[in-house]
Amino acid sequence: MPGYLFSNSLLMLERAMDYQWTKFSVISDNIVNAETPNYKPKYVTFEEALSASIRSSVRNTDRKGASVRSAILRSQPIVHVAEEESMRMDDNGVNVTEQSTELTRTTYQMNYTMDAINNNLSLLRTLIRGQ
Amino acid sequence: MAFVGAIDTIGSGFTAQQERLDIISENIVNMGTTRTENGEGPYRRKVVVFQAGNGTTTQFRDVLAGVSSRYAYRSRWGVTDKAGVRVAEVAEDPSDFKLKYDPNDPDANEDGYVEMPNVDLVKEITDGMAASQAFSANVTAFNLLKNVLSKGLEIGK
Repeated sequence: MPGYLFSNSLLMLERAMDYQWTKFSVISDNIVNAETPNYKPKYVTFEEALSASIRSSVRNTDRKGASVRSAILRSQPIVHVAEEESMRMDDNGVNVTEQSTELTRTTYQMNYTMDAINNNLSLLRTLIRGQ
Repeated sequence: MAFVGAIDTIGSGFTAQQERLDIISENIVNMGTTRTENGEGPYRRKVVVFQAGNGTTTQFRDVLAGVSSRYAYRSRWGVTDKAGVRVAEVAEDPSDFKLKYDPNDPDANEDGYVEMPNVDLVKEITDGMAASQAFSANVTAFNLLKNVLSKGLEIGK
């Protein structure tokens, strides 16, 4: 497998870590600002943009691997601000329990991603050692 | 690196809620203080004003790029305004003082009323409960962060 070291799977996992890490930071920011007046919660998008960009690059039939790779390289998590009206008098839009559950979900997503990275690396190690 | 940012963010939440609890206890303790040190009348209730930081979260790639490129180093390393929350100021509540009728009190005015601090015990206690709820939410977030960081240390082992 000559291209394994530079395969798309490890790159995809690195991007997934980036996205999940940004999501974790943004949710923690929302939680600490749960009592700040006029604060609107932030959220991160990534998956839809990434899958759309991969789908369009797969349609390019020659050099498929390279175009999928550049689609992955180009993708970035984007932070948005939720603009909903708030019911509270201080105009704060954060729902702390919802944010805390999202934080727990993100933690487990990160754990799964790190497990997948470890599996990739140990496979690589097996290939290098030949046993 | 990027991890340090999240520790700072959640740490700022701890500090902010603790300051809020400190101010609440100061209000409760001074509920009956009719004379302050500067001699200008009764204790006036204090309120903390929170402000969110402007910082954006840094991605690991940017931090690595900042360190590896000499010219990009100064502009990309860290953020000038950190994410998180801070106490922008400790303001005084401008609402009117409460009046208590007691002509025998040395602090009474000509009509026999004493100006009492504008502190409402029920409001302070409920605010204190809200502050400690916010604090526990921060503690949960911090524990999850520790979970992620210790798992991260095991990559490649």
